[in-house]
Amino acid sequence: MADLAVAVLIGLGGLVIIAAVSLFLLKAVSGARRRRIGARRARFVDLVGELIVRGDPGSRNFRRYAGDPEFRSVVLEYMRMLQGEDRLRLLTAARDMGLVDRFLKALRSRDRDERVSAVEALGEIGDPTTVTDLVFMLHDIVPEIQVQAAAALAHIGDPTSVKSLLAGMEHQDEWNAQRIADALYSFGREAVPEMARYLQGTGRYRPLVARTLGLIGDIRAEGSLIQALSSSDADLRMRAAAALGRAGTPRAVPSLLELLADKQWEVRAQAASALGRRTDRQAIPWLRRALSDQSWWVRHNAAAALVEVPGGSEALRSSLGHPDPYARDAAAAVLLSSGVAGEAVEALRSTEVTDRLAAEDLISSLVQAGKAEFFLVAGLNPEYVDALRMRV
Amino acid sequence: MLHTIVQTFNFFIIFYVIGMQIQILVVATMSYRALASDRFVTRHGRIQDMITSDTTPPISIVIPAYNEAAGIADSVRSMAMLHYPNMEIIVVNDGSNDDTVQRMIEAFDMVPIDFPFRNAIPTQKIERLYKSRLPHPVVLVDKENGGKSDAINAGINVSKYPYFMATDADMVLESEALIHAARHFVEDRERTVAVGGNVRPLNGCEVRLGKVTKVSLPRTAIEMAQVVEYIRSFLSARPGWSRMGSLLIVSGAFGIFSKAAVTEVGGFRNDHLGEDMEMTMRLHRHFRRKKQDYRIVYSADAVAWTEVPVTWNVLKKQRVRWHRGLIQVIWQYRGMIFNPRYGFVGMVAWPSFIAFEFIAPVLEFTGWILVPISLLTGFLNPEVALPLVLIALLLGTANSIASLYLDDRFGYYSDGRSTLRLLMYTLGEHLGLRQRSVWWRVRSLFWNPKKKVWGDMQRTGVGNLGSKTSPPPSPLASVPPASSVLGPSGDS
Amino acid sequence: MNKPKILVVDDERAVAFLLRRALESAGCEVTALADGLEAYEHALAERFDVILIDHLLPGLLGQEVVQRWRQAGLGTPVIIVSGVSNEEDIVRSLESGASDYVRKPFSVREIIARVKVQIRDRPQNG
Repeated sequence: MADLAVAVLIGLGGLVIIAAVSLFLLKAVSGARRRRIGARRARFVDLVGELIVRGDPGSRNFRRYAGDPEFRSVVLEYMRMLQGEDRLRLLTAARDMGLVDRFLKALRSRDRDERVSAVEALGEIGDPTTVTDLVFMLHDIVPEIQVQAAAALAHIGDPTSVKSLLAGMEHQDEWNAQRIADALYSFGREAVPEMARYLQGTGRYRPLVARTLGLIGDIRAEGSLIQALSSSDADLRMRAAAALGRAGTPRAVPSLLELLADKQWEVRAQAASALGRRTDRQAIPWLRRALSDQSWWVRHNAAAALVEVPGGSEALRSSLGHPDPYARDAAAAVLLSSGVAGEAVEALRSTEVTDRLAAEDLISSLVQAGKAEFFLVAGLNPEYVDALRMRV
Repeated sequence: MLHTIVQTFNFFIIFYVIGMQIQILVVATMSYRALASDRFVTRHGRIQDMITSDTTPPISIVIPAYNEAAGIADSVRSMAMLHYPNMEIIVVNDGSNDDTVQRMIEAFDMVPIDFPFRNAIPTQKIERLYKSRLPHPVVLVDKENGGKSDAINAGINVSKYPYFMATDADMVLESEALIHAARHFVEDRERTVAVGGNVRPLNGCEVRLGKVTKVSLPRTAIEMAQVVEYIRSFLSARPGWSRMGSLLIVSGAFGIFSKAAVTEVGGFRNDHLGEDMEMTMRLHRHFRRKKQDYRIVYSADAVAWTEVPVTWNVLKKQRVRWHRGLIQVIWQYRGMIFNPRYGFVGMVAWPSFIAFEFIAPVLEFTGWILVPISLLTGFLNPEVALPLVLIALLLGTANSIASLYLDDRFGYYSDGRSTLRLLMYTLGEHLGLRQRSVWWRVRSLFWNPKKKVWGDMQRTGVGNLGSKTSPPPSPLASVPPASSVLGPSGDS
Repeated sequence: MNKPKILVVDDERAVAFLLRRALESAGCEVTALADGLEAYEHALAERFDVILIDHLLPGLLGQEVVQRWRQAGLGTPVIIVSGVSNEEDIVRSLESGASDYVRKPFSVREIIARVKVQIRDRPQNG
């Protein structure tokens, strides 16, 4: 019996010791490594910091550190922190130290971690002389590296690389193409002329590019976008309309108005939304007409657009008396879902007589358009609601 | 004769436990690989770009609320601060009898609205809808009491986006949790139907302005034991299962789903205590029957924090509830066991889950009593049995250490003291929580299936979590994040 | 005239170092700290002419520290430096009592100029 107990104890004890030792070894080793790296890093932080502050051309002396990944990482950290002249000087120093060359070399590594770090670093450094190499990386087998390359090119901002980015999209699946489109977006205005040209071609991802142009918001793209409104590709028409809604000028409005008669309901719906964003009064009569569209979405978007256009709310209210029941419904629904009706209920408690009367008018029209339920639920007296229903 | 039976039975138990530990180790290895490959994408795939991108799929956050007046406004604000481009927050008031609705209206300047939506999933009546006038896209659904699942279903009906996140009011999400989860949808829009997130115990952490600002380990034993459990379940088990296409549980407190898929299978079931696991199993079954290619993924980088029970009483109730839910699910999906129609899930994952999550506790419990007695009374030969028992324990220890190792990548507990404490609790789990938990599971076997649901829990005071550093606890305990999976056999 | 005394608070060593050295070479006396709470106390104990504080500090947000300083009656001009740059953060920072807001990435010369402005525009009762 005693033997048994002793055996068990030894066994368990052994287990505990093994476990503890192994985990502690693990933590100790990684802890020590972290500390060593930390110390080295701190030293580099001080060295490079001094370099920046003094604007010292003595950066040649640092060449010997260029092989140390911590050193490179510190330089990149400083680059991320700075802008303007300081950054330019650091960039020159980085070149002198041979860092750029090292990263370029690492692009050819077989280890994907090395390649991806190099691409990220070059993106951070932003040296225009590295553009060609980065364009090459757009064709790396690892998708994340392609995306990083696109982002790096966007960061550098050399307009000549836009064409390569657009060409690179062609063979990508949708997910990757979107990432590249995101990179184009961060590229910004510099990329716009080339992207506008792309729209006029036959590229596969024109709708995506149209979307991005809308996000960038540069009016130089307007001409191409307006042209795209008459493309045979419905998706492109839709995206171009959305883009013009985001970033168009009054010049775009006539073409958008025409689009309200497009064959595809998605396109008409998008045109209606876009007109809402353009907030152009001349759209009001057209939007009113669109309240009677066949598609629910178009009617709804047109109503929502009327709320956004100055003077449109009146048109919406008066549409509560429209002969077409669908139009009445769309107007009423939007007045409810946009909170206008809810605000009217609150306005009933206002101290201003004019506010109360206006609110009552609106509520009355809505009740007559069939939305009494809403007001009952909102707490209005049923007799009051009935009275409003009877009103002329 | 008796001697042989007892001895055989003993050995059966011991080998069973060894088998279980081996399985856990195998899954842990798969988890290691899954986490490693995930790491490359998370680090270098420019996930953060999604935060400012228009193509990031919009998500509706559905928060079911029953008597949450105290914390609901803070909870919504905390969700609104998540780094995500397009989302709406839908709070579903499930017939509370406190002033939850009033608080919401005041806090977010809400105004009554109405809009048409399809009642794709039947729910209890929705009385009123409100929308916030502030720039936050917050919607309040006021409905009759119907239970948590019913509330979520109502939220789904009202939502306007193709994806929704089911969550609880007291979850604290990391800023980029949604982005990391959404990434999986974007990578494979057509197939991905659900993404499960990583839940960690909040106890001991510092929370400020709705964000976890400092991570530290809790003080008491019971909380530490749960920390260790959660690490094991969410890091050692789920990534591995997910990689094998057999993630069986997407947490009800932190899961993102495709609205179309969930609607297609009929929404969350209300008469269920383990409704999150039930939903996941249902999705597996539905799409496999339909022979439609799908995937359910786990994202270790999508992190959310939640309070775990601090008293034995509350913990017991939670675990008993989970285990009963598990029993319901097992019974409901018994048809999938070893059924080739359901592929790897039916043939391997599901049976193994049942074997090691359901049957194992009973055997283990029996073992803890039987083996020592058998040894003492000579029914069991120590020379043979002891080494085996030690092997089982050794494997168990290895598994625990493995999970701590996998957790290391997050760097939350890297200092010496934390490591020591984690280690102690991992090893000491064998004494204490494991046994108690097993006992609770055994107890829950003797249970009447007509038991109560969500709303009632509040009256029995299930949720009194009280931690010192986080916002005041909601009166209602949230449905546990990891459902029935956690437990000393800790896997899946 | 005395050298202006500046307090720099940033948990990133590189940023703290750079700001410190840059301001020193511009003729200031600089103290650098890495923790918000420590900075809070230190600023109340010693007199500084300008404070530069990072937005994201472990434990406390930069703007929270500023709020507490103002509540404690400290009038020292504070410039918040931050990599997070959405409009809401900027507005909140300024409303919490900060005197200026500088985004990262920054230009060293610009920061020095802004610090000088704060020194120049200070009411002379310290």
